[in-house]
Amino acid sequence: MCNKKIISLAFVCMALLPAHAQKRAELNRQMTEIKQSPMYLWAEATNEDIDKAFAEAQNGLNEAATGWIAIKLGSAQVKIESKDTDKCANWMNTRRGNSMRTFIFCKKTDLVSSKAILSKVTLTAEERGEKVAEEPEIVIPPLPEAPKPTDTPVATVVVKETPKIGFSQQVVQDVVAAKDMYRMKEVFADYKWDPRFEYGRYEGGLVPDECYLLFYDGGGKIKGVLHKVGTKVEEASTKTATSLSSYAVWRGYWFTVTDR
Amino acid sequence: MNLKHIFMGVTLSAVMLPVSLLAEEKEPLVAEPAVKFIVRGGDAPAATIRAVAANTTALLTEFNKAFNENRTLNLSGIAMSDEAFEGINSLWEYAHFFCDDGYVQQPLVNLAAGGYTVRQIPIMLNDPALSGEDAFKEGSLTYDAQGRIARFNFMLPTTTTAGVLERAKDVTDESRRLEILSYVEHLRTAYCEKDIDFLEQVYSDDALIITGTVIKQKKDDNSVIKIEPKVKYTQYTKRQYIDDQKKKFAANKWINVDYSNITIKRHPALSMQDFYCVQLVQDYANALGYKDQGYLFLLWDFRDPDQVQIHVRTWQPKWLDDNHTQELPKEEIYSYKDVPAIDL
Repeated sequence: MCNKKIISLAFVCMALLPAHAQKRAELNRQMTEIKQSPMYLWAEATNEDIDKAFAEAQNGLNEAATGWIAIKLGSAQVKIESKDTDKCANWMNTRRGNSMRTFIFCKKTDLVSSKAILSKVTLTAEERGEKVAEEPEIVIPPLPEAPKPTDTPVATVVVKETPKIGFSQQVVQDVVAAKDMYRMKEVFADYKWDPRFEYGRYEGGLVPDECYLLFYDGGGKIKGVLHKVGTKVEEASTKTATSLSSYAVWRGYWFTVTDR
Repeated sequence: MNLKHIFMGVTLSAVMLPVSLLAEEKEPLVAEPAVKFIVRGGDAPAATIRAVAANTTALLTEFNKAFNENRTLNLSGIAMSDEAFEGINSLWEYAHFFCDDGYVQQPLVNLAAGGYTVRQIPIMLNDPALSGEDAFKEGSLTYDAQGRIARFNFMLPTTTTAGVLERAKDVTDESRRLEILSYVEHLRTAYCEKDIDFLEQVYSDDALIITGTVIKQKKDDNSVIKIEPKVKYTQYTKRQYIDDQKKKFAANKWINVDYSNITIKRHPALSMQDFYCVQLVQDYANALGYKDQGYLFLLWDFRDPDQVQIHVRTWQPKWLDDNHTQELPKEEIYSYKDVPAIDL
């Protein structure tokens, strides 16, 4: 009876062992998930000295948060420091040989609610962790049937030649003309097999030169088509200068197109 | 249940806790099944960035899959040079390794001579130089202008290189320093790969190669005979040095070279502004159980960016005794001040 109680106690105590007994692979998997989630800001560092790894990771998180806020507010007026991220950050440590890896992260919702000046920051549904309605499937309308050949002579019509425009100009024209996501996806479906055209989901971050960005709201309405030219961003249709932060709340696609 | 039971339970868990930590320490390495690589910043053309991201994602994912499956690498379908292909396969013979992160984001940096580089890719391996213990290294990749992989190296420790890059005077100087670090990392990795062709190519035909050996010298000091260690220097030709390395490569299943404490200085002579003096500490170990630690000095010639060469290589032992109590005096360590101006 006494032995059974001791064994039971041992099992209970083992169950309460701290999280560092958690397998390394599982922690790595969690870090990868957090990195790819729009809900979080994160940073990491590896150092033989665990305190240095933590300090470096913490600085990295502060810089990442400051940069993200700057994009959201359209200016670099707010500097995020450790006293701000301390309130909402969590971290994980894993061993790498003789070194320690520290991964530090915080939820964007927690950061924004931790500092009064950040109340102006608008989060997207994905950043808030809300379930987003699934995008409708691409429906490519079937090609119309080819007309049957007849013996009736066809009247000769003289067509005035319209000046040709380059491939890239045509693509941009077609994308700008698309007013909603359904039409936009038809345009992408038309061009996606052409090696001169490439596209993908825009997940934030720096935009390469000559890249186009297309933003749309939750209802599928196109909010803007932008073009990165050097260090500037302009509206593709009017060439008017604009800023990326004005579109930060919407989802987007990027695309690039060349004439050759 | 009484206090005695509680005490025994706590004692048991106090025993179990270090056992569980030990269990965690000995956990076999497992790689994440896929790696996504994202370019974070840089001013390369969009097509190059996409190629870099796609090729790097494919390469790192293949490292991880091959590590988990304990097999040879399958690099077909990944755009890379022949040199990169051979180098990576040679490194794989040294040890299987993997990318210790499922999502890697790094900047794509321009190199002074053209092309690009990505650094600080986290790599884990069971290092034969550490008797199979887990080891962490950082990897770097270089690419040509189209984003095709040109080379994979084990990096010098970031704690070492950060200082070198921080001392850059401007963007051009930083690019040049990055290029030098890339070459030094290539040299270090070449020993692990047993790449004799690279060593033949990188040492100039008239390279000055000097190696120090500790000898015990009898010294008569007021009728008291003392045995003092002294360093004897021997000069080798390039041919002699390369032939010696060939023998070592053939005799050893693996060779590991680590560099640390690196400093880079441009040669002070006005006529040698494209020459750089690199000073570092080298740790060498091989499969036959030989280990040493010494000061390595290299004079690099960057006049022709397509044929960067080493003109001077000196190696001096760091320790003058087997117990590592007596170091080589600092004033005897070869540095850029000792390099004569070469008649060009």
